[in-house]
Amino acid sequence: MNTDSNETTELATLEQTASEELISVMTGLLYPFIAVFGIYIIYNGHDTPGGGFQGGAIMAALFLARFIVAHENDLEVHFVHNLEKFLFALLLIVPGIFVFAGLQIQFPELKIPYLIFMNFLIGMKVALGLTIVVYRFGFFEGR
Amino acid sequence: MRTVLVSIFVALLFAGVVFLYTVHGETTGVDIASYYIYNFAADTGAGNAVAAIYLNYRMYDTIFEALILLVSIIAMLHFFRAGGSK
Amino acid sequence: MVELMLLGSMLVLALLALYTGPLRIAVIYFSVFSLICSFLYLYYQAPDVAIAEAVMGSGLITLLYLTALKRYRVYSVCYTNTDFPTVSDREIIEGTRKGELVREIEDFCFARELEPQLVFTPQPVSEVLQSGRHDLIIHQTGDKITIIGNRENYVIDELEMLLVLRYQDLKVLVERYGGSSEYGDDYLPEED
Repeated sequence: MNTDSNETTELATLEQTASEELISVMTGLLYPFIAVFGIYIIYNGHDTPGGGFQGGAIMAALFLARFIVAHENDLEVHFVHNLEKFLFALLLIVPGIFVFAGLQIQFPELKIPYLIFMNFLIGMKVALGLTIVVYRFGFFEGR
Repeated sequence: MRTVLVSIFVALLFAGVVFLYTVHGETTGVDIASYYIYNFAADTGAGNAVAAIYLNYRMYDTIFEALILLVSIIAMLHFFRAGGSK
Repeated sequence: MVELMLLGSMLVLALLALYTGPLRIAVIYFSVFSLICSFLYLYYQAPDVAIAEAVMGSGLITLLYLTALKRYRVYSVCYTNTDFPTVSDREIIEGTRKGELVREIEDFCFARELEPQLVFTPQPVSEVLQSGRHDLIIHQTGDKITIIGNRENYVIDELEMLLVLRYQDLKVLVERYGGSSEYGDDYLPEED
């Protein structure tokens, strides 16, 4: 490609960034509030409306907002995928011990920590899963 | 040959599931919805009935829902042309 | 009363999302539809579902659709010139500043991962406009170049900005056609 077309590309990206700056600044301002809201929803899921899935979806929106603001494509898809498998294994083991094996009858004081921990597991799993799906469909370069 | 065997197996599985669903003899003494509403706090310690149901009474639902999410991600990474990594 | 208002606005927004030509605007209507749907869930005292609907419907799905629209692939460009019945490729490539313009549009498409499809036709511009198949029509009579963009493809807005910035010395006119004409007047070709 010659210099002329390079200039065109530069100019095009310049205009794009100018129009995207508003969105970037506003998303950056909202970022901590979304984070606090998502963690609140997951942490209080056993007492108030919400729970793992809803909080996880909010966290996924947060992670995707990062890709919009920073224009970074550094998601390690394989790492996140393996993490997801690990979380699913935990999701099988923890209720298997606590609910199905009847541990909750012997230790009733562990019921609320169990609920909070399970909400965190589900929240992380949903957040990572939705992030991978939207990232791969939306932001992946090229195809 | 293999596809015929697989389809026969799936048809038998379907018939079995439908058969088991129609002939089971279980009945519940109490209305199950009102049981959950009155007893969920004592049974599970949750303040939110929805959380009590999906994290304790209906745990299998949650596990298989998580499995569906995992399988869909595996399928998406597998079928995309670009492969998994960048 | 509140319920009726919410349900009515959902109906209106659903119809708007279905019948709006420019897809970017339709996606925004759909996102507002999801937001009102989540208000309705809240009104029916299901805050769990309301949170999920608000995040998924107006957040993630809108994001997914908008990024998918950015990857709208083929961009068909039609080049008409009334002065010459036939146009050769050589005229475009070796040409002076006008040929540069066509190449500029191609480069613009490549920068956005669009696939430009160039068509040359001796047909008069009114026939090409009526067929409505092309996203962009470059019409040249003598020195005057008119660029007519299809309103349903939003790329024309960015292209207009680029052309106004870089090609002030050529007499380039940017017009719109197609879609629903409530956003401005259609381009009417002069008979010559």
